[in-house]
Amino acid sequence: MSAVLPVLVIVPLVTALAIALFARGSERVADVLCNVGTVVVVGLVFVIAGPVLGGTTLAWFTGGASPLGVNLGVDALSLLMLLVISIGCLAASVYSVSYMDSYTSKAKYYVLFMLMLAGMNMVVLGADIINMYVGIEVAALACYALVAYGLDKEYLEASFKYQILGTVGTLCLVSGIGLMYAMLGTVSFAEMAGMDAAGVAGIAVPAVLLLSGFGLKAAFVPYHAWLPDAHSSAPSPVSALLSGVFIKVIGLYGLMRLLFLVFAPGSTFSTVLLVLASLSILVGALLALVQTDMKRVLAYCTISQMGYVLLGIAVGTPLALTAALFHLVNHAIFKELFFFGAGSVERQTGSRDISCLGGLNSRMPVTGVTTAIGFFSVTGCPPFGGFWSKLLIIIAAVQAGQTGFAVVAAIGAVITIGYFLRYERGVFFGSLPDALRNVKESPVSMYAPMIALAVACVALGVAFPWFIEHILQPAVQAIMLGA
Amino acid sequence: MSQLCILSVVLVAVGLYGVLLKRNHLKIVLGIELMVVGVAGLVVAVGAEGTSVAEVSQSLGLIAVVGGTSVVCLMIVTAVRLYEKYGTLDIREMRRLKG
Repeated sequence: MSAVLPVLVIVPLVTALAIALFARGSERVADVLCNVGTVVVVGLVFVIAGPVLGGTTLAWFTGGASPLGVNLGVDALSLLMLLVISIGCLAASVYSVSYMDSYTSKAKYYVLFMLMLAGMNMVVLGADIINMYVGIEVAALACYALVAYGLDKEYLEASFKYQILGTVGTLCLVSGIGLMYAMLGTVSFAEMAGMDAAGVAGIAVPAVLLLSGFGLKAAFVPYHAWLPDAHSSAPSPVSALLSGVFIKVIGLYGLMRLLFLVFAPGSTFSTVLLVLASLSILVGALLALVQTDMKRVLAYCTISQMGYVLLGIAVGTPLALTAALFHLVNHAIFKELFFFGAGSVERQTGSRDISCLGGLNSRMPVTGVTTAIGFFSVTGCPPFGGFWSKLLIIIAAVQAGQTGFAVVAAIGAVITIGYFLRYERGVFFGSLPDALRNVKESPVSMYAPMIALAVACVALGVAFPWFIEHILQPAVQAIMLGA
Repeated sequence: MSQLCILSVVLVAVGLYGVLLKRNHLKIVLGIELMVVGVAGLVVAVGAEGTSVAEVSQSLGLIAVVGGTSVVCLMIVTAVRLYEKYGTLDIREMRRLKG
């Protein structure tokens, strides 16, 4: 069973190579290869899901002892992230088939897409920080190129900004990892869990560097400057992946892994994390209120929702961590759904300016209904998934005595309703402008993933006790291993 | 504190100055490159004991240089493309997006 772990990285890499070699002439070949690749990855993740949820930790290594060789490991937390990554990528690759027709050289897009998938899988499979860092580097490189994929002025500008800030983040991570190794003599998560790493003198220096590095990657306020540009400039399936999956994998995942090993809830660090979280919630939501570009509203919403996840992580009780992971999954689903919807609207109408659109519910019913389901989830209407996760985060914060931060989260939820009501009214409700009378619904390969994600939004809300008990609880135990 | 450590910190500081204060794309990229080299040196310097360096620190330093260089290549490509679109390398002229 452990032999599956390297295959999870190899399959996307081989697919990328195959697309580069065989799909130059034919876009259909590229479509098929990319989708087959993502389906295989999803299948492999389901193969290892059974044993891992049963309590086994899978491990695989080659080329010498940790950390010089390649060391991979999967516990329940990695499995949760693998599920989010593989299903998110499958939805995006199906969506890309029609959406990317309007771009040139689709094959190159798929190559970058598969490299990003390989990098993300590597991040969550890595059993020590160095393997994780290699994955971050690979995924980030592919991501920078994907943001600039449209090659227009603003896309290049967004990508350049992202490259600079992303690289500064990477360098913070490298120096943090180097210093931490010099102090602890190990970078393996399992070995760090066995020692009192948080108590080592001077560990605060690498911890601050790692926090800044992951903060830049996960775009917490005040590290968020690149996110709205990058996430709104990329092609819509990539925006969906960036907001829904990517920043969680390369930013939050590392933070969660190291939470109890280095950052130790209850210390000064958790206060810092709490402040960053509430800043993200409020600043993201307030800036989303004034945007007129659909994708920029969604990008600022991402900053705000990531604040909720960080709030749960910072509170650090088992309930708070469960809620944070649940919100992470919910956000991955509804944010992909929103970006797919925005992509459909942009492709069919040629505009994503909220002030120029309106009344599209009558012309694009599937996009309208699925986006409305995402709206119910993000604003926290029962019984959708987003309601339970936000409620649990607020309850956990109150229980842990952080009432002030719970109030901030509640205020953020109200502002969220405000900007999404504006979004819905501006795009799907109200009167239909004359110019949009002939707009048609997007093709089936674009709305099929949207329907699937909308069903997932409802299913997570209805079946949340099962999901929490069987998927999230083992993951929380994996995070708390070092506690 | 070893000389390599001091040199690395100076390199990172100079690089950071370039990234934060320079207005020219290529100078910003140069700043990033200096920071990459500085960080790699720092990682090796803190992993050194006497005359030997821990294998992990060496390999991490190498990975950092390789990763950093690939990103810098991509940045140069992006900077050239931006120059083709805008006809200038000054970032103050590129204000189509507002954070």
